[in-house]
Order: sequence, then structure tokens, then C-alpha cells
Amino acid sequence: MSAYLVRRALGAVPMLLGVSVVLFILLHLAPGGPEAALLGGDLSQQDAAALRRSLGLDQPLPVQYVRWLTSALRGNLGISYLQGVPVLQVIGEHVGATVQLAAGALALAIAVAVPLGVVSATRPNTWIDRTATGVALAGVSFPSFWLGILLILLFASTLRWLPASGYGAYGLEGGGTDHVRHLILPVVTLAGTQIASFLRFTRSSMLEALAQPYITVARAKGLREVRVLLRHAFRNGLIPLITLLGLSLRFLIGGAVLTETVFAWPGIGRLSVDAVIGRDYPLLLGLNLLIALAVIAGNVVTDLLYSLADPRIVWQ
Amino acid sequence: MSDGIAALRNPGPRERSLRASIVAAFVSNRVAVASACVLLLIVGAAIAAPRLTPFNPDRQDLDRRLAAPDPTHPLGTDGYGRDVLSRIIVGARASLTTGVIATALAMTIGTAIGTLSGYFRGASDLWLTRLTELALGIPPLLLVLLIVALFGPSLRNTVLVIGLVYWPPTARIVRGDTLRVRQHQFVEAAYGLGARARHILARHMLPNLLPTLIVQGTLFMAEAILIESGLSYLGLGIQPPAPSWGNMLVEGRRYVDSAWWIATFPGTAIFLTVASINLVGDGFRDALDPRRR
Repeated sequence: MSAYLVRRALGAVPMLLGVSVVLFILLHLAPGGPEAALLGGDLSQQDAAALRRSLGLDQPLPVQYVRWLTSALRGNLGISYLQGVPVLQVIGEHVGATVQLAAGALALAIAVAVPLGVVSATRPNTWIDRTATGVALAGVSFPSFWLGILLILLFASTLRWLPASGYGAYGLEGGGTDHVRHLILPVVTLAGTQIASFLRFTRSSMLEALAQPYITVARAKGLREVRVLLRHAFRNGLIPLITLLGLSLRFLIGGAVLTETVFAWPGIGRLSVDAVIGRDYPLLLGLNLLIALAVIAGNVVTDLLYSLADPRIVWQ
Repeated sequence: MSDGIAALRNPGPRERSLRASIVAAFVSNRVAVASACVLLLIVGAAIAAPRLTPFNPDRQDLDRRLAAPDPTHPLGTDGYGRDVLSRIIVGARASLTTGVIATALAMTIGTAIGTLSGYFRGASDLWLTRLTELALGIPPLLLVLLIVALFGPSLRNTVLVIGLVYWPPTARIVRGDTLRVRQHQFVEAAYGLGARARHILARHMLPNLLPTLIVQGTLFMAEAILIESGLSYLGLGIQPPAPSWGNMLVEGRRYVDSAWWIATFPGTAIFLTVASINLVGDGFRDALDPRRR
């Protein structure tokens, strides 16, 4: 087990190096540079050259990369061009908002989609199954940001139950619930697409599991249907679901970009857009490394969940 | 499966029956047929856009800003007094162009990498799989965002980048399918008869991969349209004043309190298009899957 974790941690190193090299090349291949974003439209040649020199951008690309890498290895990801503070600090200020958003959305999606998927698989072609299938189709076909706008239209503009955007105030300052009230609509928006894919997956993997001979055996033994469903079918149908869970991290981060933009939510999704538009190289590299790291960690957690769901799977 | 392939290659009575049964299975799926009709209408509207639009989509009528839907402007006007219906019809072009070309690109790259690594295995497989894994490490939307922003937002760049970034899932699926098809005796027989790899890949593997590719391609087309609209919403897709469904929604967000129609109708257009494509894709999958036919 621990040997397995060490091996996975070592395996992450070439992956992160690969991501950073690809990004570095991409950033520097692109026409233009950060000076236009930093100094505004009309800047003199000298200003631009001076700025490039002060940022170290006049050096050959391999030199720049090695410089960046050696300081990154010492835990220093550089200073954000746009904000003038260390990249790690900028990310630290924004990462919490996205974690809340993503965790909330994931929890909501599982809570809604898994029970609904199990029920609709046990009653195929009934009204509840049709409704669930319809919801799933709507979910994968809805642009998430449009869902967000419609929710604002209904719950903020028309009914005035919830705030339309922003982060809200923590604790007593906001009456204790202000922040949570601000969180509801973004979480529902981000969960929307996830619900759809979880629902589809739960339904199909449950249908497959329910068609297996051991289900017939379990029923023939006279087990109660609930037990057959949960202990026999669901436990076995769980494996593909865990795969999906592992993949969902990438979609949650991608979805957070749009959701955070719609709701002016101060997370790393919105930060990524700003960093891209402002050509904030150090911030972009830092953000993408963090995200790649999160994706790798997510994969490891997925593998561990496999063996939890199915004791026959052992990692060594 | 091998019967089907023999039939696909040698026209004869059996071929007609296989194709006919696939077509019959699709046609009997009423939802899929209805969606295909909706989709044809949308495509037709996009093609005929210049003749169809009641107003010039860029014409500003500042006296009639934010006008609610009425007989002259069935879907209302936006913040510059432009006709929302006309802009939606023209905006269909950007979405559909992205859907078709980006899908073709992603499918081509994914199929090439997937079949090569599944068929030849060995070192090339290892490297191609590594490459796929690496590409899967960064959330694709972020990568698209990054590249489009760096190289300048435009329809051409959007299409290219979506196609170039979203091939890994296809490569993965195609590789799995190639490994499966490769086991069949007809591949071994072809090899034994001295067929070259290129021949085997083109004549024996590809036809067998076709059902997977059709389904995968349709479903990805729906996703590509969503991605384009998302990029436009972030201001990194089709640049205003040219209309796209995504950039119309940006304005809709601004006027969400006062003019609900600006956000509602372009969103509905995206939803209708994407849902139709998804339903057609589901129909293809059901019709092509022998277990369900």
C-alpha cells in the first residue's frame, strides 16, 4: 500500500514536468507577450524591451525554464505579474472558494443522481425512469452558464430569494447565513451537468449488474429486495461509478471557470481566465501545476476507492 | 461482427439486410427521427441565414433598445436595438461550423493515434498512451482557453483548438476497440495472406471501428457546440459584433433583471441544438448496437 503510494508520487514527477514544459513552450510560442497587457495598448519599444528584461523574458527559453524550475523546486513559483504578490499567495487566496464550490457541487450531484439512478434502473421504462432519462438528457445538453443565468433570473431577479452573485460575508457579519446563501446558486449550476452524467452512469451500470446471474441467485435465496439491490447489485455497479468520479474532477474545474464567471465567484476558475487574458505567465504556470497535481491526486484517490469497493483489487 | 464486415465489403443480399436493419432500427426510434428533423431545420436555417433573417443582424435601432417580443421583433431586441431572432439565426453558423469541423478534426487525430497505438502496440503504443495521459492531465477547457487566448480569439482558432485538444478520449476508446477487433480471425487471415498493415487498417479495422466513431463523433459534436458557446461567453470565442449564441448570452447576463428575452432565447437555441444532436447520437448508438437491435 505505502509502496504503491510512493510509486504513484514518483510517477507524478514526470507528469508535472511534462505539463510545465508543454505550458512553457505554449506560452512563449504565442504571439505578443505580457508587456501589452501590463503597460496598455500604446507603449514604446524601449518600455516593452525594458519590461521584458526586468521579467527575464529576454533570455533564451531553456534558460528561462531552468530558472523557473530551480526556484519552483525551492517552493517559489514567482511573483504574479498582475497582482505583484507571490503566485502561491494569490492561489491560496482563491483556492478555498473553488474547493467549496466543487465539493458542494459534487456532494449535491451524488446525493441526487445516485439514488435516482438506482431507482430508475430497478423500474426501467416506468414514468420515474423516463423522467430520470429526460433530466439526464437535459443536463448534458444545457450550457452550464445558461443554467446559471436562468437560476439568477428565477431566484434572484423574480423571486428575490437568493443573491445573484458575489461571495457574501462570512460569519456574524452576514447574519451567519449570508455566505451560504451566496453559495447555493453556483453549487446548483455546477452540479447540473454532473447530475446528468452520474445519473446516466448509475442507471446503466445498475442495469448491467442487475442482469447478472448472482442477482437471480440472491433473489432465489429469498433475500429481501433492498438487500439484493444494495449489497449485491449496487456494490458491483459501484466500480464504473468510481471511474466517473475520478474523471469528474477535470470537469468540475472546467465547469468552475464558467460558473465562477457567471456568479462573480472569486475562485481559481475565474482567476485562470484573468491570468490568461493578462498573460500572467507565473500565475498561469502555478495554476496549471496545481490543477494537474489535483487531477493526479484525484486519480490516486479513485484507485484507493476501487479497492474499498472491491476487496479483490489490491494495490501493491 | 465478422459477418457484418464481410457484408460491408462485398455487396450482396446480406449487406442490404444489415444496412436495412440498421436504418429500420433508427427510423423506428421516433425520438431520434424527430430530433434529426429539428436538427435539419436548424442546419437549413443556418445555411439560408442571409435570406431568412427579418432584419440585418448588425443593424442597431437605438430607438427600440431592449424591446420585448412583439410581432415586429418576435424574440425582442437587445441592448443596441438589434433583432434577437436575426442574430440567433446567424449565430447558428458559428455553432454548427464549430461542431462539424472541430469534431472531424478531433475524430481524425483520435482515430489515427488510437488505431496506431492499438494495432502496433509495443513502444509506439507506450509513447502514444503517455502522450494521451499527459493531455488528460490538464482540464481540456482550461487548455482550450489558454491557447485561444494566446493565439487570439476567432472562429478559426476556436475550431482548430477544440479539435486539437479534445482527441484523447477518442484515442482511448478507439485504442480499446482496435485491441478488440485485432483479435478477430479475419485480421489474422489477412495478415497470413500477406496483407500490409495499411491494408489491414483501412479495410479490416476501420469498418469495424465505424459504429464507435459515428456514436462518439455525434456525441462529441454536441459537446463541441457547448464548448464554443462557453468560450464565446468568456469573451474568448466569436468576437462581437458578430453574433454567436455564447456572446449573446453575455449581454443577456447583463440585462437579466430588465430584459429576460436576451438570455433566454440564445440559451434555448443552444439547448435545442445540443439536445437534438445528443438524441440523434443515442439513436445511432441503439441502432448500431446489435444487442439492442
